[in-house]
Amino acid sequence: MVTYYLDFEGGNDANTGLSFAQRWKTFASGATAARTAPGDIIRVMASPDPTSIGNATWAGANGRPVSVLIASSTNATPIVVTTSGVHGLVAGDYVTISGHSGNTNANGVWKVGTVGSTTTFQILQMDGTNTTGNGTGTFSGSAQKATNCIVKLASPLTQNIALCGGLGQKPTWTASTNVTCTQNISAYKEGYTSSQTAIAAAFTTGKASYYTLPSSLNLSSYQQVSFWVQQTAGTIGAAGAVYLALCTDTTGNTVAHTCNIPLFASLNTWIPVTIDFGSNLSTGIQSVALYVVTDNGAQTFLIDNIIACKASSSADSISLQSLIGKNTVGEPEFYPIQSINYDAVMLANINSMTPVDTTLRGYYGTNETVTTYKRETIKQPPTTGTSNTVQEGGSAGSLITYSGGWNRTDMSTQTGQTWFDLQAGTGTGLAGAATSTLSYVRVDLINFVRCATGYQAGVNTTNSEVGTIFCTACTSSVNFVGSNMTVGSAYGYNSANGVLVNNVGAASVTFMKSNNNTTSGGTVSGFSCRYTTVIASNNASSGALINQGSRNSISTLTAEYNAGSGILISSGFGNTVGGGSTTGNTSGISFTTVNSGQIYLSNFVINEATEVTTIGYASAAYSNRHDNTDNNSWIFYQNGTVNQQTSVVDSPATTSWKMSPTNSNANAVNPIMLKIGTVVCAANSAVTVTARMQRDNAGLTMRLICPGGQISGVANDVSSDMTAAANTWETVSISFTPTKAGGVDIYAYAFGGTTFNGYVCNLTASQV
Amino acid sequence: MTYPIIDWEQDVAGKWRIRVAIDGATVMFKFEDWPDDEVVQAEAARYVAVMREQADAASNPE
Repeated sequence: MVTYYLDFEGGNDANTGLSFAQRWKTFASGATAARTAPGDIIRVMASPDPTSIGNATWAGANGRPVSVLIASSTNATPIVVTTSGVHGLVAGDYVTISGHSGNTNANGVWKVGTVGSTTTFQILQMDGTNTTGNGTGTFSGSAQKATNCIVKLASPLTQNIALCGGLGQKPTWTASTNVTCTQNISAYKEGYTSSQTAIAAAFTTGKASYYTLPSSLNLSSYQQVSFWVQQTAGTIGAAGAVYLALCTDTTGNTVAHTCNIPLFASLNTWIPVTIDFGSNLSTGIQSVALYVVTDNGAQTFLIDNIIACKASSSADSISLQSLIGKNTVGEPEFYPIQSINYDAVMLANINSMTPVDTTLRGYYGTNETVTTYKRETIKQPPTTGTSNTVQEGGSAGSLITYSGGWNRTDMSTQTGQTWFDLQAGTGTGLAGAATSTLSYVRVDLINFVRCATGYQAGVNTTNSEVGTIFCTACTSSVNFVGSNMTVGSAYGYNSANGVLVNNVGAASVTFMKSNNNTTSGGTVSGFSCRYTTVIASNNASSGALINQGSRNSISTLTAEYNAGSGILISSGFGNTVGGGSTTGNTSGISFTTVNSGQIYLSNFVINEATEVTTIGYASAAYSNRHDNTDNNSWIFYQNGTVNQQTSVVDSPATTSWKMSPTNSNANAVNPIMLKIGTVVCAANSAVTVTARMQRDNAGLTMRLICPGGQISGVANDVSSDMTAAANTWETVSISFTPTKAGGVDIYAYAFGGTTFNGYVCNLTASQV
Repeated sequence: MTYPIIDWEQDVAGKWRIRVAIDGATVMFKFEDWPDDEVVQAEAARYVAVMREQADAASNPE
């Protein structure tokens, strides 16, 4: 076993990798298959440890509410918005408004001012100054509470330079000849627009556009500039072929600071840029400008959210590339940033989302004002490929280990975490060179932000291990595919998809947390996988998705305040959940296809008023000790329910099963069914089975039945219906004679009406 | 639209279960405390909307 050292920032792949001084740079060219062998450990240098940025207010206890339609808005200062339904806002909340017509200045992200009523509220800019209308708003668009999407700092840590989309800063940039400047209202990161500069082929080099700031800015307290940039058309040039300039004159001619635009991996992908000048910025910045250094023909760029940031050496310096979090044991997640405006830090999902996107999920957790931390990452060039490619798998008993978080001074102790930022949201964070290469490979504390997929195990991967992994702002955070995987703790959050366990056989997942994703939270599929703890909350669709997964076992599942159901099942059979709860979802459990499958719950609490929804007659949720209560077992079908109860019961039983068809689709061929026992029979003697039955209306059929074909000699159904009047107990009996020994299942069927209830208890069986 | 309440009972866990007539069938909703009628109606309306979405999604898979 050999220990190697790898440092993406300070390493060199020509080194031996055998010591800190000789550390490699990359997975692909440093830790090559020729150099590593099963059993080796590759230490990966940590990214910088978190530092406190002071107190900040987090508010995510109930997740993100749904939006309400806007009835009107005033052409006034400040704008007053009237919603068609109850908005649920209080003063100091944040709100996003989109699609509003007539008074387009109302669109964007705002602080809520005075709340006039349950349907009216003022909107203010983030610094509390008034908004100003530009017309009378019509019945259009929607407002959505966004307080859980914004972390409010105790005081601003950055200086706005040009928001490129906030009210009052919407003027279009001034274009040079052969350049067109507009406000882009489709792609933006802050407010409601970004600044677009379209450079025609006839333009060569020089100043393409500029924007005059409303007033001169003294930026001498800041050393960094941060902004979002995207190229939407044209040839992608080299890094520095275009730059953003901060200028001391009003027309973008006197350049004080040059911010090179990095190399894009592809068009139409936002990249957060932070330039560290290492010394104080100028005192009199009056404009920003976009300059072309190398003529690459026609090109179009979007710029947004230009801010000045403190020195990188300052513990409380944050930029658009920083991650922020509470840094606690219970909430160890660090969140990507969508935008920074004054003291409001908006949390991101994937790069392409606008701040008014209704599926932006923000934060889910404890409401509190608490010491908040920022974390800087290791930046890797934007790519459409894989940034960190593992070259060689291990073998049984001799895993190759990629271990992150080794201290940055000599990599002698594992005290931190390694965070890689792929910046553009494209590319894969870590994968094997082939679909099987991650077999017998252990990865620990190597985390990813802004990837297409953070961690990707290929389809032929076996016996790989993950210790702890965090992935955020990814299309797919963590994607486990393969077999016999062992996962310690996987966090997939503020992404499009959380943790995905797809087509995995026999995985063992100890802890899986998938919150704040724009689709479903965690996909707990695969086959015969064991999950100890699954958490899936505040996702834009369902919480936990069981999709084409069978025989999986989840010890505890918690799904709260998702925009869909807590657990969504689509073709999932034989899956069990041993405890946990759903709260605040549209329903506790939902089956979405005709034959979605079954789920078996025990000691599970469903707190929603709508417990189970299903459109599939063949689907069922079986809940033993429902709501964690004795004598309270339930079966939820599409067309009715069955539940254990004690109110209507016939001695000597102490509970009976209540069968309640709720839909006329429950009929003789598709009844509400309850298996009430299995009878083991000898051959060639008559078996008699009885049950006590009652019904509250004679319109309900209550049937005792031994379905035919289960045992030799009983080819056809043997059944008997109760005949007694309503509310009268009756002994219903069936007899049959098998010709071979074996076991048969006995059922009670109920059908007829939508409001009637039947009861069954005291099953007996005898054979003579 | 008003959804008629058919019946109600308190289950062994102490939760109130209220059956409401919706589209020719009945649907049971569960409440921790005895709910005001408007709460029941709002839940019924939300149920209808969710089921409509699910039916649409099932008939128009992406």
